[in-house]
Amino acid sequence: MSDIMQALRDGADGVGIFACHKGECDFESGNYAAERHLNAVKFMLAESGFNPDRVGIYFMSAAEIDRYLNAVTDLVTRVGALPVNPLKSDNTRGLTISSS
Amino acid sequence: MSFFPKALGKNDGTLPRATGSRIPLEIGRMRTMTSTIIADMDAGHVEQLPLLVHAARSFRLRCLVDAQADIEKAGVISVDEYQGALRALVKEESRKATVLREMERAGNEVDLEALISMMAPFGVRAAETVSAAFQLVVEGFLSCSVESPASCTFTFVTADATLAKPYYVPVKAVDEGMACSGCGTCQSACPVGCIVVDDGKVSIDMDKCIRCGLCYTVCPRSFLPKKAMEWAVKNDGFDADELKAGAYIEAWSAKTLNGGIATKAQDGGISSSLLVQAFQAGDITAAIGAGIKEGTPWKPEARVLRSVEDVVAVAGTKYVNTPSLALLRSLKDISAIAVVGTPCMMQALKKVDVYPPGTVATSNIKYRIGIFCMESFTHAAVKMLCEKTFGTSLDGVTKMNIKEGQFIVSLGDGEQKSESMKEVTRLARVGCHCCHDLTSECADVSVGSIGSPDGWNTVLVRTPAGKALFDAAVEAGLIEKKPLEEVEPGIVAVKKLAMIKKRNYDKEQGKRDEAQEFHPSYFMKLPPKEKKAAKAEQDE
Repeated sequence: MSDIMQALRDGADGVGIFACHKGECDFESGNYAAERHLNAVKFMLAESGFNPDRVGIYFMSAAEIDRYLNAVTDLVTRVGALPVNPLKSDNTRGLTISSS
Repeated sequence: MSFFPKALGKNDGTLPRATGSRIPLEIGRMRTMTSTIIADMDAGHVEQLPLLVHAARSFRLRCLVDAQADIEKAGVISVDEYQGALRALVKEESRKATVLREMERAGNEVDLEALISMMAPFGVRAAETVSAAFQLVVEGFLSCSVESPASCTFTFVTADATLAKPYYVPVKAVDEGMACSGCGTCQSACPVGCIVVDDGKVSIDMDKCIRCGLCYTVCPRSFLPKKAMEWAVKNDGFDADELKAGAYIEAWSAKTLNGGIATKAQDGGISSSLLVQAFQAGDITAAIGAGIKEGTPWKPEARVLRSVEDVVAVAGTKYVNTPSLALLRSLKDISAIAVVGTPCMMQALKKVDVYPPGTVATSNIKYRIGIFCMESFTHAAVKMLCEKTFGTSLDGVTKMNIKEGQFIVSLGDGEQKSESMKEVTRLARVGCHCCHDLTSECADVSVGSIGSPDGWNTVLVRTPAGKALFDAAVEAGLIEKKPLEEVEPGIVAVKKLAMIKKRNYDKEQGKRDEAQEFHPSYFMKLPPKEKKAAKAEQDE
């Protein structure tokens, strides 16, 4: 949870989590936990007036390039429509998503 | 609503805030949002992100989030209440992060008063600041030194979350540390219902426990900066008298005029009369009290009273500990209730006020009627006392009373047997030695027999709500009153005994400190004894 939040604090415009299909996690329930944490982060963001759309979780296997592409496109479109995070440092500046 | 609406961000009203788009955190299901553009991430707004990082690191929040499925399965709290608990935690943790940040910026010692004014620009109320600061102390982020009853000084220790002392331990630590008061608040606050309090003992089902620590937060015997809390709420000074028997508006000696109550009551029958008044005026629809369980003489059970008849039926003091506040949860849907209880229960309610856990609330409690309490006993102890010392079975006892240093039992045939309290006190619950409060300082109205003649009660009216109730009862002809100054021995006796209890706690604390045993943190320092202080002055 704090890792997602920290990414936003360090200047990320959005955070995507790409997880294995449910039930196929190498750590048994790791992806369920990730989803739970992500939901909590969404809750915290919404509670304090941020757009919860800045974070998202997508489930896919390593072989499903189409799902991956769709997921990234989805995230970029969603986050691209939102204002740019002003907290960017030199490390995270490259990550700016242009909304064109 | 954002956490600090006044200080952070542009609050000129031109930017639409995200208030309308609060998403529910749905249990067990991923929520996909349709994209709505919110003007978030403006320069002021992002200042909240570091606070949220700190909040996200909170162990308690993690526990609640990770145990979502367990909480849902237990079915003790609803989805709404779960979200309420999360919301309360996020707010609390963010506030704590703000206090920590400001303390780090300040870089030196800050006393409570200065801290409160430091936090005011961020829209943090005094009581919230106190709540946050003392939690940070318990966690080891700040250190606190108590100089006088009213003032403490905080020093910044660390901001490194990995160094935090996890104070989020279950109340087991309190129970095993022999400090539990048996009030039952933890049972009400537990989101999975794994705690049961009975006869002054806590049992926790550790398989079900999710280790969220809400129980420890609401426990009156974990940590309780009571004086600071009260001071912060009132935000004015202290006088020495207030320390002795708490703050009160009026002091009366009173007795009931209701015949039914008078025959059953311990002394003046005031707590029962006040409840009767509240029921008759329609102020409350339920009250929490204690009644004797059928079939087990002198073993009380916490009971919900719903009518005047119920109140009259349970009048009279029971010296055996009852987990009354365990009933709070079952009464959450009733809009106005009253609670009659011991000082520890009143402290617990105050704790819930200042540290709202989200799973249990005090908002529906209209009146808090506190009784004076020196100590309580387990059922086994009372049984032993009656059988061994008095040579009678509990069935035959019609009344128990403590008067002028004697424990008196009345038997059915009018016979009375008594024993010196010095002997009886040894049988008291060990946890009660951790209490410093004789007069229910956190109540609306405190009622006791100390200080008033036989058949009368001493009544300390502490808050406007309590005053309204007491005055109404007098007006309704339920209660006869006279000023406490006009009776012997009066308030002097109350203060003397109250101070004895405080000094006893001080000794107990010293003893436990030496033995490195658990004791509650009250962040309280007693002034030196008057005689000693006078002597010290003389020596100088």
